[in-house]
Amino acid sequence: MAAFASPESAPSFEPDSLLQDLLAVSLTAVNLLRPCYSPTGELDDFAPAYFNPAAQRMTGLPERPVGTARTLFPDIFTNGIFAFYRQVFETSEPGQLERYYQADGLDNYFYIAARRSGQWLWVSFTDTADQPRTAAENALRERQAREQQARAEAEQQRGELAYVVARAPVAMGLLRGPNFLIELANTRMSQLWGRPAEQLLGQPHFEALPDLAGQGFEQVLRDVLTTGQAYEQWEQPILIAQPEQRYKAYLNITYLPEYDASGQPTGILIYASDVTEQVLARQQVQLLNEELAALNEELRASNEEYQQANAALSLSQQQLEAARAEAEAERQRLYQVLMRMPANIALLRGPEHVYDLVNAEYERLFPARTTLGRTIREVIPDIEGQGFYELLDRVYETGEPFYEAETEAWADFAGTGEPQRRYYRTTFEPIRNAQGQVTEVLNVAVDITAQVEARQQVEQLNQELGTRVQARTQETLALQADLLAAAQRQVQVRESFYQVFEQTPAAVSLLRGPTYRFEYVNPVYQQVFAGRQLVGHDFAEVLPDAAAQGYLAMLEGVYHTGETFFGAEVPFVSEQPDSPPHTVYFNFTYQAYREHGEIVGISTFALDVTEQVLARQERETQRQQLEQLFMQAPTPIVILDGPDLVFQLVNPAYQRIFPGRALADKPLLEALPELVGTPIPDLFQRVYQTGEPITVQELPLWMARYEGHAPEEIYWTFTYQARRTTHGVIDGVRVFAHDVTEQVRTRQRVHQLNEELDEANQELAAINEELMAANEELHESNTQLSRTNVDLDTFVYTASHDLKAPITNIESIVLALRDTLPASVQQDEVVAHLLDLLNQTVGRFQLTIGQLTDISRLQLVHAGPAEPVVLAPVVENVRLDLAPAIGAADVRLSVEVAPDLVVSFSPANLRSIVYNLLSNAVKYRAADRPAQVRVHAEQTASEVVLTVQDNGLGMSEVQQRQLFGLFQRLHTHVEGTGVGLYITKRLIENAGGRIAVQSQPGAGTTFTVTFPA
Amino acid sequence: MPTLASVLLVDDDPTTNYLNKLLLTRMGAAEQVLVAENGEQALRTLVQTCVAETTTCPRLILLDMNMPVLNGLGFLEAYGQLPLTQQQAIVVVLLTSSLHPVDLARAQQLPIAGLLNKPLTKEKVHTLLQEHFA
Repeated sequence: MAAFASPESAPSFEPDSLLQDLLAVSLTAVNLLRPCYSPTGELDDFAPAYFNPAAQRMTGLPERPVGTARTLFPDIFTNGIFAFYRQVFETSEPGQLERYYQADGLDNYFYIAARRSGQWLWVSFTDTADQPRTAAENALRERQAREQQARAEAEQQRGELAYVVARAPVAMGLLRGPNFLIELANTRMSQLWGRPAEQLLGQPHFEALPDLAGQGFEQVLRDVLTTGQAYEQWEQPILIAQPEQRYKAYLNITYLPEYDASGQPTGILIYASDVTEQVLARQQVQLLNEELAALNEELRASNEEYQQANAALSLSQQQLEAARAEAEAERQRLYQVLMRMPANIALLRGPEHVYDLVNAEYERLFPARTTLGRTIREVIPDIEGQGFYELLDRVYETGEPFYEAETEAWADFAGTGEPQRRYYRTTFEPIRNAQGQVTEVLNVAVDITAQVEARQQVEQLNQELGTRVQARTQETLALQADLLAAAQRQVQVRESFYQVFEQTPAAVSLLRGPTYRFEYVNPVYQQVFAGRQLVGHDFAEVLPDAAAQGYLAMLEGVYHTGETFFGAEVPFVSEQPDSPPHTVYFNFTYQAYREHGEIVGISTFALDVTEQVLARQERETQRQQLEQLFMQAPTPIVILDGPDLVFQLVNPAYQRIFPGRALADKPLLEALPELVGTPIPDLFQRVYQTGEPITVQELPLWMARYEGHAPEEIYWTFTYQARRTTHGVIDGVRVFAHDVTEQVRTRQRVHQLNEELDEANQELAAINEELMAANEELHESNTQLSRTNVDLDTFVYTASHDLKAPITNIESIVLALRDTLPASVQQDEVVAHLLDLLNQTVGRFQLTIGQLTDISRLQLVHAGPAEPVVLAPVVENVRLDLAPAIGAADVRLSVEVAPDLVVSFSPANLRSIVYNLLSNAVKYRAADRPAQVRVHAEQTASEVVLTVQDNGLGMSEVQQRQLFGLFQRLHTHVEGTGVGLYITKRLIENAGGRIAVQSQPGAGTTFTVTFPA
Repeated sequence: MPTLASVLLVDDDPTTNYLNKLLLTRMGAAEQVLVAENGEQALRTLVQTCVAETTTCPRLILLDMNMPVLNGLGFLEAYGQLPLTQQQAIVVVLLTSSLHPVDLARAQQLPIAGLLNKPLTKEKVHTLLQEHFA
């Protein structure tokens, strides 16, 4: 363990006074070590012989500490530093090492250089903490410490956000650039995409997920990136090729553009929630709906009246469907508008820019002013001279849209009479009509006043801070400069001085004269500008790149004022001839050195801090991205800390549940006392106690969907998760929500529709039953009527028969009387007349009975079978039969019947009909004018129409009504029984035809017979 | 015109029977006119007059259809079963009002020589005798 050559026995280090001064003034820590050997002769320890003041300051040890490295710095044996020392000592090759050393009271990133010098080992090391503890430096360090704390907090927040993002039930992702590189994808998003995040991150979206290509997402992403407009997709079907099978899901997806510092959209934030189950459930309900509709169809077929009722229902159902479709379309439209709501939106019509439409946000800009129907010059005269009117004119005239990331506007927004300044992200977009002419200009302005002012404040603050630091460091560093100058003056010890700085890991240089000629550069400095010959040349000549980046100006400042310049994390873009430019960051000092009180040059010390800067920038970028994800998430997210559930993080969507209420840093029940007595606190406690996540489905909340909008009822599904420390102990609760309003609403509407359908079905079923009952009744009365008809037929037959016998007898009796009575008696005038009357009476009686018998025959034997009959010959035959009557009455008869016109009818019945109508026309002629009868027949599309028209007596309306009745005789002056037209009508109608009459008393009558084809 | 030895009138209407008997007698168409008021009486008359060979067995029967007790159809059925020696020589003619078509169709199947519509006239009697007894 202990070295056999103990420190006490070793020769002590006695530097000469010059070297001692140099070591004392050195900014870097320098110590001198002596090797110690084990009994086996192995170098296994070093003993410190000397620590210079810088080393004493950093380690807190005296100039000559007691002990060895094993007792003073045991950690160097495990972190490789000892091995490095031993190697340098044994090989005599100088070396350098960078180590993050966090032990033995040290906590920093170290640069270590070692060099063997005889039996000694020189070690030089430095870190950013290696600064003289001046007041100014302490201020700097405090600032650094605050920054570190802020970083630590930011880091903690980043961790918190990362967890939230990773575990959120909403899928989140971030795509970057024109190839949509996947920069972020949380667990849920990886699940949706069906691949582990490691396979996705850093890959172009459609290369990592080829199965998503060709489903239309390319266009959506491109549009969002080029237009910078957010985009939403509802219930978007998506096909994902899982290892086992293709998986079809329905997603609600929100795409939000992410802007870079210049306001250009360069990335796309994606939020997606899986609504497959809801969609499938609704589809099932719809299927059920369709089945019900099918059932409807069946019911509809059951009878005629039912059909009508059902048709009416179907119509109302269609109306409901249409209303639903319309509501859906309206929702889409409203949604689009709502999307844009957080901005000020106005539509300006015509060349005068008349307000056609403004949204609520816009109205709130000028609450006291009337906008609609007035021109912009009337409404906002106070922006005159700021170029807005001219801008609008130009957009309207040229049709070229105008965009500006930051527009300054002065107007009396507050209504105080004094103009206030605001900043807007502004768009003027021409709106064209169907002919492509610009008719309106759409103005969208997003208020970014707060951001711009905050940024301006920060800039100002930074400037002030920089000035203060500069001032305070100035004087204290003068001392250091003097010391350096003193050292410089020791020309004779310059070589030793250089030897020390050869080993220092800082980049060191000495520049002389007003042209800053390089007098000395150490190897580290040379390495920064590898390949360039520096010493002996002027700064601007050999380092034109550094000069151009402002370093020459800094040198000038130091040279002319003598004030030391401190640079913290200053970037430098190195432009080497054969490699691409790359940026490095330095912490450095430029100090003037003087000879005889005159400034003759500048010494530079620079430490490369590129890695730290880049690492911090990377972490900051990540944190900002995560915070943006969190803050922009459209769904409420909140984190509650500790058993009292103190609101730790609240995103804007969550804040909207409780508008205007201060939540941050307050315990749950203090911030929201109305929750006392509800199940909510128990729910939180249960999650906190058990660690089991809890989901509350479809909780309706009355809140604004977007900032500044009217509250509405929104259904959220809340997920409560326990937050755990790295040791697994629960120390908080996270709450996520996602919007299920649309699903709930749709389901409610479908349920309602179903109920209505059910109800309608029940009504229809009831109507059906009633109708069936009515049908049964009808059927029964029909049966009764049929029976009555049969009875009547039998009666008519029997009656005609029974009447026939006595009249036959009377006829015979008359005959017998004529045979019996002597001729003288028969020739008596009265007897002869009586016998004639008797004969006539018997004749008429027999005619009546004969026709009555015909009727009964009609009932019993239907007319003969229908067959094609050529009509013209039938008419001609009847004309011949009636020729005597026609001739006697001097009737002018015209017949207009085509010779080939065919009627499908029983021939005997057809003749009977024609005979009846024609004989009637002759019989009922008017005595005071020549009789004219016209018989006409023509073929229509599907029927044959026969008309028999006369100019005879005609009939009144009352008579026309009686016309076709049985035993209706309208005239007494002619022979007739009142049966002919009754039979005619029966014959026609029995065969499916129709007969109609048109008549005017004193003018004539037209019968129209329509025969079925 | 031949004169028949005996004619049987079967009708439930006495007026009809009286008038027809008067007509036949006046025309000299029959020496003897027998009258039965229904089918059963007619059968009895036939049994009495035709089982043994007598001159009173009618050569012509004028038969009505609708009658009480035994109607025309019933008579014809029973008549077919009678063991009458002269049955082949007896002419049965239906004398009736207009017939129900169904009854008319059935009548075509029956053993009758002809069918006449009431009222019976001289012309009809002439034709009948010419047709069956000339």
